[in-house]
Amino acid sequence: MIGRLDARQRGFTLIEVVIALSLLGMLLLAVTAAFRGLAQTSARLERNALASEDMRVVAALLQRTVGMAVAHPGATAADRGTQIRFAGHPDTLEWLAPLPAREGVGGLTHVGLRIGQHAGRAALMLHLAPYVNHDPLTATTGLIRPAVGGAEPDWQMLPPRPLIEGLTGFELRYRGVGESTWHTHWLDADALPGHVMLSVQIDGRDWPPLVIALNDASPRSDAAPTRAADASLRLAGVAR
Amino acid sequence: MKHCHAPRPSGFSLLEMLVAIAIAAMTLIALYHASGGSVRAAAEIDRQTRAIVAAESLLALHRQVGPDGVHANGRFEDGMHWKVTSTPLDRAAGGTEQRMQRIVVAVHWPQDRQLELVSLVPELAR
Repeated sequence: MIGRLDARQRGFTLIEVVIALSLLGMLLLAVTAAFRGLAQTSARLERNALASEDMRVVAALLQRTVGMAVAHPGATAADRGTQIRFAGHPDTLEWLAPLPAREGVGGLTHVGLRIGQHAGRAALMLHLAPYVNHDPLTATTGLIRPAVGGAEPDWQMLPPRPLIEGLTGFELRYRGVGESTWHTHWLDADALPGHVMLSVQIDGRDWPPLVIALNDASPRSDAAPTRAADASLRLAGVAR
Repeated sequence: MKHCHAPRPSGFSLLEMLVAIAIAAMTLIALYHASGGSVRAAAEIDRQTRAIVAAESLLALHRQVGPDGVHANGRFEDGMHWKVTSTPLDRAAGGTEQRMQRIVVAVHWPQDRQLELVSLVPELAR
């Protein structure tokens, strides 16, 4: 039979087909693996790019809002007498700052940074509470709700927002104007710190330390006078 | 036709196959390089963002300088180098205005572009 068939009409032998199929199979396998690798790479790239973008936005937000922390919420004598609204701890920070009006929050606002949970992961949460003016002048005009029972911020009023997700480390340090050492707490009643330093770790990776200078800072009444020679010390403090 | 002694070979020749494989290989290599390029670009953006945060932090630490200026450098934990220098700004002789210094914060990784922030800061009296 075979001998009578023309060479051009003969099909492939089984061996040839098997070899061809197995070659094709291996090729497909390789191509699939390569494409899966590419897809994983691009997904990781996108995650990294988003994390970078988040870092930029969050750093800008913190630089602005912490930098604009106000010592006294008003120009009235009653306000000047009040204690400064700035409570710094190693892992939480509360302060008062003017915020741009958006999403129903704006103007002088109590701002809080705390570690919380978001989507099952540790996250740095931004807490906001509107500042309630207890100045009798504005209170009587009815423009602003008069304070009930003092001016304690009502943190429950607005839901906290996640700033940084996947937080694996968060540390705050404070330094007074003209001082050279960083403190773990800042609960001074009469002065804002000159600088706040945030050390943030996301998914096990350290940010560079974010140091923010406060515009409204003033030297502590009991602090030593400003020394210009502490530059090396403060830099050592940053580089850790 | 049926009795043709030398039928034209109907498959590809070895040469044709080699050329085809070479073209396919070059395409794959180009694709690989393209994806590697975007990986490098993303890493570069990440480093750039970190450098900006670090440089702004250093600038925030030097909102004023002493009469001798600042000349300091060091390294962050992730290998990023930084340098802060300041030079007094010339002013008209006999001027009484606040003395200023030009401060330059430079941040870079080894074998990478350098990021520089330049600003003017007031000089403190001795």
